[in-house]
Amino acid sequence: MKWKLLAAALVVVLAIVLLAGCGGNADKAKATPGKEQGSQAVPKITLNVATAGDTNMADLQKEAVAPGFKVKYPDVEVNVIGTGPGDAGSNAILTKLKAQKDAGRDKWDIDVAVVHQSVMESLIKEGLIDKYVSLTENGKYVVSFDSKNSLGTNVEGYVIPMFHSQTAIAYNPDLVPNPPATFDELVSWIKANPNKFGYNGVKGGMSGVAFVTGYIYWKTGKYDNYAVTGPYDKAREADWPAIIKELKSLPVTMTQGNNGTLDMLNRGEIAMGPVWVDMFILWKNEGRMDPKMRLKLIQPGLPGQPMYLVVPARAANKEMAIKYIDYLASPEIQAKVIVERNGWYPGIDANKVLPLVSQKAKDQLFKDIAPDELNKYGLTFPLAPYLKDIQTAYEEN
Amino acid sequence: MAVKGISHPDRVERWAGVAVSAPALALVIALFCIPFLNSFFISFRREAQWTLGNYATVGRLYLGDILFTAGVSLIALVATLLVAVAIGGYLRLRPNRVVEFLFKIPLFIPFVVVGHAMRVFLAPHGLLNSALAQVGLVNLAAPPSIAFSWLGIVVALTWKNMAMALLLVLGAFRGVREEYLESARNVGAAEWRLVKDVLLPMAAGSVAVAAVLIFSSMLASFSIPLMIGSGKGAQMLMIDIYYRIIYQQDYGVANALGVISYLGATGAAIYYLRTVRSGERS
Repeated sequence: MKWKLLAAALVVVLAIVLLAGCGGNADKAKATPGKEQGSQAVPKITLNVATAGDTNMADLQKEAVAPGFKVKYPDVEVNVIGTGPGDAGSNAILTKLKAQKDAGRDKWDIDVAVVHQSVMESLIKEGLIDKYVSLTENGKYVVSFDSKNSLGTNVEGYVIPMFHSQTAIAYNPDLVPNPPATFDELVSWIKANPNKFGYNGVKGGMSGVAFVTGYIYWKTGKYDNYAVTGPYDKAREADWPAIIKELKSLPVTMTQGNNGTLDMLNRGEIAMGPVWVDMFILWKNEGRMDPKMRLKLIQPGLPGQPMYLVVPARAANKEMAIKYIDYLASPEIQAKVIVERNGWYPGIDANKVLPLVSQKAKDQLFKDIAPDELNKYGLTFPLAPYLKDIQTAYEEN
Repeated sequence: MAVKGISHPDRVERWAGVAVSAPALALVIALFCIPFLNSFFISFRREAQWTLGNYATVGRLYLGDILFTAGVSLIALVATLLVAVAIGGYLRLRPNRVVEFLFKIPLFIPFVVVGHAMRVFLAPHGLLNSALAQVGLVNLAAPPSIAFSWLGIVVALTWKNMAMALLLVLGAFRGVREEYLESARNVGAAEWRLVKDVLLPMAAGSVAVAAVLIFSSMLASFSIPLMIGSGKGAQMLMIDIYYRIIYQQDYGVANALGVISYLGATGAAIYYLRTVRSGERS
């Protein structure tokens, strides 16, 4: 009996210690947000940068932007929070800001947010972000179409695009000496070369979604309504089922996600497929992609997307937030971080950025897709409800 | 075990028992019961209304995927158990540390690494086919694609779970006393008969536990099906849940799929409790 009691007591003590240990750790983690290097002085300002997207997006802020910014402003500690991949990550930021607004807080705990296009309409409608662009030095270089219009919402003055990423058709020149220049030619090529074109459907990556979207743009010719002017109207989707059925009847290889397409292309299992240009360049830079592979942006075009830098309406450190964005939107950082490090197209006027970019990075980015081609055939994704419907239609037909 | 008129020390002991199990119970309630109930309720909500719509969507779009997930998990489970029982039996009868260690390696390899390794190994132009092509067994112009079909998922899941199964099965086999094996040997049983007719029946309970654990983890596999398998046709359920959340922001259908996965895993557990446990008691 006694030893049983003793054992029981021991287990209780152990459990309490364990729980206390967990609690203690949590407290410790809370007490030192964003602590990276042992800084001696207590920083006066902690700038909270929340970014949607995969871990690479948080790494970008932590490793490539924050250190340089800290050199300029030594008393600022940059705390980066990743909110998760895809539109869900942007939604998390929207939800958090809205909750703080509804709670009547006068200081919100996000100073800079990096978000996708899909949440812009709600952010502006709810009055959650500021018109700050006119207060920046580099605002004058913000010229792109997507800095004014985000899936049909007027966003002028609210956003500086951090970068623009684009989808294109990657191909293996050994197997495809004359790559198709249009969707028409591509479809003929697919029929003539069964299973040599690969894409990932609509699951596991946006490169497949972009291809399906481009296909629908081409077949319907309704790009303006779907993506630029709106308004959303379900009646304009009447011909989609037939189009999707036709697309699905093509003899293609289905890959597993963005990476799957790149992998199979690299191994020569497929000869062509839609990819994100930045991923394609990154893989080449890391030696994971055969350097001979090329890109083609086919007509009438494929979608790409920016991510936007925005400032919440009641950011606790608004002034510093604007300085941070200004730093990130400067031609030097755009050249070094956005173009050279990540293989994206610059978010600000390319003419201001390109003179500062190394020849090698320029070749990577513009050898296959010239800037004017990008302007002509680089489309945007459709309004958010259309985009959802495209994915649903693809699943259901 | 509660009896009327218990003496004082017994009462103390009962309270001690409650005290000991309280932290564990609290953890289970906080980390499993509450999230499960939450998930269960959300699966019946759509646009702030109570509805069966989420399950209707599941029925319309994902019925095939549910069957596919159960099927792939079952086939992988059978393959895993066959390997584990065979190797476990061999190691019980002829202990061999090197072989045992080799089979435990998958325990320490993360799912993502397994997924990527299998993708590279089993791809149409992957290591396996390239090696077989060297000896003229495979034509690389039209290679078989194990990685990008359901078979790829089965192979990867089997390889990854084999070590866990072996650990449990071998432990149970080692619990079988040598005398039984000796008597069987005395009447002339061959080694495979020892495994089939002595070790396996006596360790049935442990094998069933291993089966339930592994089946549940296979139902819940995400990173492996994300990297291998075919983008065409049926998908594993966790891929669908991820897609519903990330691409459609549709938590209703995602939770409905989650509840169905829970039920699948619970079903396996209940089946185990009713058959194996009752068998042990009789």
